[in-house]
Amino acid sequence: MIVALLLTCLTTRAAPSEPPPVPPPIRPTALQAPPTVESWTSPSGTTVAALPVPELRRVAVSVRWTAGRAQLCPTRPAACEALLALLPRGPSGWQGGDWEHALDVRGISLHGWVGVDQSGLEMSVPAAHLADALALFEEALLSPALPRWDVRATRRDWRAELRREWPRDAELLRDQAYRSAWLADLPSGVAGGVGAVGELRGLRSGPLERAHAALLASPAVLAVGGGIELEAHRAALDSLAAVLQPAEPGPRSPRPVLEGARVVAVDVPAAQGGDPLSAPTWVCGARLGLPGSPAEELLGTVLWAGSTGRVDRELREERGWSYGTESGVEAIAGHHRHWMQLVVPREHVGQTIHHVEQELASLAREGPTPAEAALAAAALRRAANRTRATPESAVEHAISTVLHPATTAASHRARAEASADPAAAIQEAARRWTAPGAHGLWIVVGPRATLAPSLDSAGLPVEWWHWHRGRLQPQDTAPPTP
Amino acid sequence: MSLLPAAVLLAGWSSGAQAQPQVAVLDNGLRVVVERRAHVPEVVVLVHHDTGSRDEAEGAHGTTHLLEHLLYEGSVHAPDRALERTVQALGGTTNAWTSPDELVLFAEVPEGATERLLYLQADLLAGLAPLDPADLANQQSVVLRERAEWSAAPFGEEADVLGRALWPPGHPYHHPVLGTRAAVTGATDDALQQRHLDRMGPASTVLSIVGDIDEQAIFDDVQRWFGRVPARPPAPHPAAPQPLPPPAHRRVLHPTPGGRWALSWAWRGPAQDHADEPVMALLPALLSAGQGTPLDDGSFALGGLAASTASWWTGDLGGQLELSVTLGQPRLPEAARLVREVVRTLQRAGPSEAALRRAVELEVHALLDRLEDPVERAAYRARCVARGAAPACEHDRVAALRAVTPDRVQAVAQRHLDLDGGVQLSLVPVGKGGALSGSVPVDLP
Repeated sequence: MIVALLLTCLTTRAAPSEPPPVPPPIRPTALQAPPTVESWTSPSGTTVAALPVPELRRVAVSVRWTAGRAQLCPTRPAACEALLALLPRGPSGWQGGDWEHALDVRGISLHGWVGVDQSGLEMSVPAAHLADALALFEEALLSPALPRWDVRATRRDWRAELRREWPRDAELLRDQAYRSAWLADLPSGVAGGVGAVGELRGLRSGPLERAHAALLASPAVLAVGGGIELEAHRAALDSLAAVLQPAEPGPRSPRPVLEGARVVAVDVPAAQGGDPLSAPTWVCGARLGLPGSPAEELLGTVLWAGSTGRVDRELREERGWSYGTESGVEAIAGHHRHWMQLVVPREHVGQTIHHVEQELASLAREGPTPAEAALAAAALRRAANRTRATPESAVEHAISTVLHPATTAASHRARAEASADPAAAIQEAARRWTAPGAHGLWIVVGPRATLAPSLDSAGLPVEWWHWHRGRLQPQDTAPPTP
Repeated sequence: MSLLPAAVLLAGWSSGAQAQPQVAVLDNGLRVVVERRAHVPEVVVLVHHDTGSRDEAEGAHGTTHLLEHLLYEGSVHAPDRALERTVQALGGTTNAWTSPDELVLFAEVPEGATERLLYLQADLLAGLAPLDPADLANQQSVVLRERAEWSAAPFGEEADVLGRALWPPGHPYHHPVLGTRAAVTGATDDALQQRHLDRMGPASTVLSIVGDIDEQAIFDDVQRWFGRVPARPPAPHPAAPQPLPPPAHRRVLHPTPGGRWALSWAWRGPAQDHADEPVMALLPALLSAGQGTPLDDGSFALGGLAASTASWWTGDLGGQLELSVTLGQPRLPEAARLVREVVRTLQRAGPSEAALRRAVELEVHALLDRLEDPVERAAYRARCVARGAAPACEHDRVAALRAVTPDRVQAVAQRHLDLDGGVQLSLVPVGKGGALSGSVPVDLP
């Protein structure tokens, strides 16, 4: 007994006194039907779409134009970028900081953005202040002040980005490199970013006002989602819709794409200090997919989404090269861009690319394991069931039912089919992504002298670019990198 | 298990579709807070531990964060990353974080898997699975890689440098959460297991559940699974040195990647339960919230690439206010003069009523917006309960913010923002100069 007591005292690890019972079962999750969006045609002919979610505190309001840089500012993208960035800064007639005060005390946030072929002005507001907010939103949309302080601030910030000897934000570089490489057929600067330094010098009120007029003349849809009491605000929504031009649903315009998988490496000098070989280096990969393709969403989950994706399992858990993978899907110019990125030591960059390409080829040949397929299907169902999670997700769904009704409806059917046989869907998508000529692009940023040997093992052709005179350009020869 | 009275519903805070959070305490000391939000068929199960980097002994800095990673390796009856595999198989998400004062792990899953999550989290609370040496080595590598990513980013080490400069050696906030390479690589399975036993037991833990739940059924499930975990008396937190000496050096410098300079002027401030804390929390919005706020207006007037930020952080042992100006050229003396003038003006005259109201509403809306995210909501509820407050303590927080007056702001600024004190950190691009004169280099271990 004394020995038993002594052994008990020496025990340092706590454990339950008896084994727990069998783990409780998990009730399976069904794919829910998409929520019903209420839409009507305002007296002006513009469609208004709404998805109320009473449980949410906030309301999201969005005007979505079916026109972007390519249509509005093909030769001067900085004007479009500046306009949509400055619309939220307030209408004319407001003094000093009164506009910001009016927004802040009501909890209103306004945000404008412009893409290649779409643009938007979006607002988020607590439901209690929606009536005031809609009036302010309409005022900002129709009569932007384009205040000098903000135009100067915008020019200052963008000039800083373009003129840095080594752009601080590697993510900006990766994004610009991707767009420049893939959208090279579009006019200079339309692909993304703010254009060149020279364009910023000419950024005055004139081009902005012309861009504003073009924007208001473009087709648009008005959407609202979240904690809105629809009937109480229907008249205000019709009033806002009256200033917009009706948009028609239709097919996305196709864009030619660069064929074949390759690596675009951006040569930048190394930061001083530290081990150049093992320095953390961003690696970003992307594939183009079909709009609303659940099969490609499933493939992304198996390949590179989260810690159970093949990339993380190998490169993070087995080799310890990376802290983790980020991934996502972006709608751009009629396609869906499936992307992933991670940070690995510079010496492993080439092997990382090679590994991902090999895994993709393996999925095309053999398909996923049953566990992988089930996991991907569960993720697909969960994502589809989250439409009402936030005001923003509700608004996006409402917009898609208006602008892409056929795709939205077909997408739900396709989700149901893919969810029922995920393995086949994944293998089919992998075969599409690895077919001869299929688009595949890798972006790597770092010093050429240390990256080049590693990239030899990637097994793909490598093109070198560099930052020169405020934009990314192909690099013909290796510069003397410090 | 005892049920505490539900929080009082204040008119206007919630829609009629939301229930109020409810709290219970198990016999083993585990506190439980649950809240129904049913617009999405999902549930967040979050476990909040009253431990963080503050509890690390010398030579063990970074082990709490390492332990956070190792929680995913599994528990005694659910090893081999069972929790993570289960969540992923459901299409859910799981993550964890470590701060000086807390270690939190959550999972967000479809509602049909809630009880399974409770089973897994309860088994984890009872005990970690023995660590495979290869798994431990791999996670040490992952943690060090995370550390390297932060260090490689421009201004990535700023928070760690300020911590070392502001808080004296031996203070729980002196060392960075990510710790040191030596401590991380030297951590052993036995030490980590003991740490888990000592500091992550039921009595120092809050279980927070938010989502599509039935409150009574969930309390039954919690009792079934967590009621089995034996009570473990928590180890006391290490004491902070008292009285707190002033920072050893008023001006410090640190090299940083990238091509920009920054001046960060930071002060220690009150802990989260101090009467002055709500006022300190308003200072960032008062000073640096866009046009019309003095720090932002001043940095804009500096021209070039100058931009400013302000932040306030507080914990159990104190807080930290930081006013920063970043520049494209080495003009840090001008930046320091700007910050000095902004603070001096606040101390002399306080803010206007309009400026204060704007700052208050910015903070209130930011808080309420965070609570719309189910994970943030679960974490907030857990923190409320951990501090002994009502589970919906945001009501008290909003009331405290709205009770702040211009005179109080002026008084608090005079009390806590000593213009001859604090720490002025010069961040300069690697290989370049431009730090404030007399700045002492700060190295990170």
